[in-house]
Amino acid sequence: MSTTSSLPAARYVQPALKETLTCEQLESSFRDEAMAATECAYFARIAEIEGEPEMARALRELAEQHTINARGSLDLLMRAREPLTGRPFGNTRSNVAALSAFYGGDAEAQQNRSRTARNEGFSDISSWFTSLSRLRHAHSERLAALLTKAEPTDP
Amino acid sequence: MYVGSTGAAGVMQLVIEVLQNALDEALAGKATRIDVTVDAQGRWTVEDDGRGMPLDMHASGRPIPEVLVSELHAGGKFKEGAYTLPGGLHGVGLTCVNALSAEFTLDVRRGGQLWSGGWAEGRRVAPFQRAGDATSTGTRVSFRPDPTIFGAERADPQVVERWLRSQCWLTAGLTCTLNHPGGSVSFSSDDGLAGFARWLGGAHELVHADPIVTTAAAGAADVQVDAALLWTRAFAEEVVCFVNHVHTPLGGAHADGFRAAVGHALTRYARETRLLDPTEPLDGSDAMEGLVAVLSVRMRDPHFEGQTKTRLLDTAAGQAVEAAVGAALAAWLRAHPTDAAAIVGRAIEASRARTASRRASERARYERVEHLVDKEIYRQQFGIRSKNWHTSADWITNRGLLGLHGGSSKMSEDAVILDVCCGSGVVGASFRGKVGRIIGLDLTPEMVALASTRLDEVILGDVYEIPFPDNTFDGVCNREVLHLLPQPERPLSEIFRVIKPGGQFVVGQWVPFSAVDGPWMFQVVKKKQPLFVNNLYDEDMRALLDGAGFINVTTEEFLQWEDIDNWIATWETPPLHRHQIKDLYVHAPQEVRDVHPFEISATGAIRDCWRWVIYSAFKPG
Repeated sequence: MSTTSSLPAARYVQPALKETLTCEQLESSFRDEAMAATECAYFARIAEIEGEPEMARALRELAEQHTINARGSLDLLMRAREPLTGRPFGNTRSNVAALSAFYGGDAEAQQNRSRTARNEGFSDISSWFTSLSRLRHAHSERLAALLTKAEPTDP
Repeated sequence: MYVGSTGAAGVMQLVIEVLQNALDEALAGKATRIDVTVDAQGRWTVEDDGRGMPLDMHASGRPIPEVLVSELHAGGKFKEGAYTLPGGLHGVGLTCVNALSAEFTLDVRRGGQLWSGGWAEGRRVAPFQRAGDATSTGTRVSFRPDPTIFGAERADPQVVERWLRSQCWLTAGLTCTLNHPGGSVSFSSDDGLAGFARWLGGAHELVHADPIVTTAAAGAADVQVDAALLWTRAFAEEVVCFVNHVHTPLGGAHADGFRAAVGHALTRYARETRLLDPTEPLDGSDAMEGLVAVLSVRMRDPHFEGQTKTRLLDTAAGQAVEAAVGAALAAWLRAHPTDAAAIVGRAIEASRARTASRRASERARYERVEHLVDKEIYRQQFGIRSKNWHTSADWITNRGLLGLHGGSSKMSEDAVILDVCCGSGVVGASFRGKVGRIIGLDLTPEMVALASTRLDEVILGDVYEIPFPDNTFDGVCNREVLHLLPQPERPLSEIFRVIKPGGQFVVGQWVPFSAVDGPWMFQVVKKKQPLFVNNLYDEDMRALLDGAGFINVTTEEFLQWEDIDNWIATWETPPLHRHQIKDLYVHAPQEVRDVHPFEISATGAIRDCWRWVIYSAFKPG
């Protein structure tokens, strides 16, 4: 006698994630986790310097957790879009292409921020944004050159 | 790479490895001398008067010393009980040194016999065998680092000297000698860590006369903790940490425990004795300001970050240090109320200065663009810094750099020039002999007094409103000021205004090497100097000069090495920022390291290469 079930295999169909509120919230969660990871790691070092090793340890452990969580959100976002540019991503070529596009666009955004800061009287913050803008250009060019080099050549 | 680098730091690690082996004999109570020689070719020889390596045969049928220098993890100290608390690279030390040396020789004197052997690039060229009789005991290692690996890099004898000096303070009864092409020096000490702390205190004014010395075995990990603390009136702290006599320049758990102990002990005492208002904050970093200290931890089986042992990871050691130093310091403070009041007063002073510095940074910005800078902040800072202006940074009096300013002059011998924001007047003075008369202008009365000893006349005044009519001077000079001035276009237009048609403007400014090190350098400088507002790149300087109306811009570049530890030991840089600046160097991204040269020595000292550009420009005739 056969023991094979006559029931059909379970199929779990999800809607497309892109352009949904869930996608936006996943991006927000990613940003929050990434920011918290940076803050916790930075604050941990300040705690070390200020002679608070127990708090430093706790903050370092939290930073590790936030980093893992951010990566978890990023993994889920691979179904939809890269959060900085809205481009598809997942493998190295598409990841690098997305970052290259981000750097190129953000160079201009940083310059605009620099102008705002200057108009509002914050010379040092304006200069910081300009420095970041130049770095973005350099990074965009670096990644673009890598992508060009990696393009398959015609026989 | 077990030695961490193929640069000078890697060569130094080789020297330290051999020294550490000799030191292990002294720590075992079997050696009283370590003699070190380096010759002009970079060959290092380290000799101790210990027992000499065992000359027994290894299981492989070869003499044990030969195995020790040619096989990884064969160190005799790793045989149970040979050494209680060894240093070195976990049994790879001598093997690494041998493998990375063009020439390597080993001589062992033991049991009335002398045995010798030789290697080249790690391969045996002379078998290790009996070479004669010996009337004493000891081990002698001689090696020349392989130039195909390290190029022309050399270990700095001054760093070795400091290492030997340190070990003599840490090890009772040890005498060390260093012979180098420049001379010979010998050390021994009978006052231990207290002497070490006094030496670190150097010429600084002291807050209390005698170092606080603590010694205790503490914690579940049975950690022996020894420390000496001495507060000075200097701004920077210097805490030198050791684990089993190995210097840990990046600190780690023991250093963190030490900071916690000092911070908590001082804060608690300050509150108990009502020296500190209950609502007033006192950070651990304030308690550390001006402190010079030595911390020596001895423990079994320490764990480090990296093979070169720069940072201790054991949390239990940190807790042991915190408990031992905290208890000893608290008891000392209670027993010495006069000195305790002075030390706590110093920390409270540091806390208030930090708050003032932060407020200065906040007040230095414009609320709206048409508002002027708060000049009082500049006056206050540079007034304080004028007291040790010339020793506060290397760039200020660097002859090569100054020479490029004066050397840029295209003016006649009877020209009259203005040195704007002249400071002590050294830039204007670099034009001496090339022009007829040099006038200085500065906002700070103390700097005006200093510059008056160098320049023909010095005026108290403001670069935003230069107190001279149009077309007064044949030339203007200035250095390293525009990055501190909001809206630098305004002072530049003032400079342009007071120069005669056809006159020259010479201005020196450090700039980032490229877009890649710009944001990193911004953070370094901003943490050092709260008044820093413009991260000026070469292209910014050219645009500013062009925008002001100057023409015929030419440049000269100058690379200058700055002692960062000295540069940040200054009033306007809070203790937290000094640590963060060092962190920025230690953790600099590889991209930055690729374009911006800097060095971190085996002792943790930092030297940064600054890119100076000296611009020469002219007002149209």
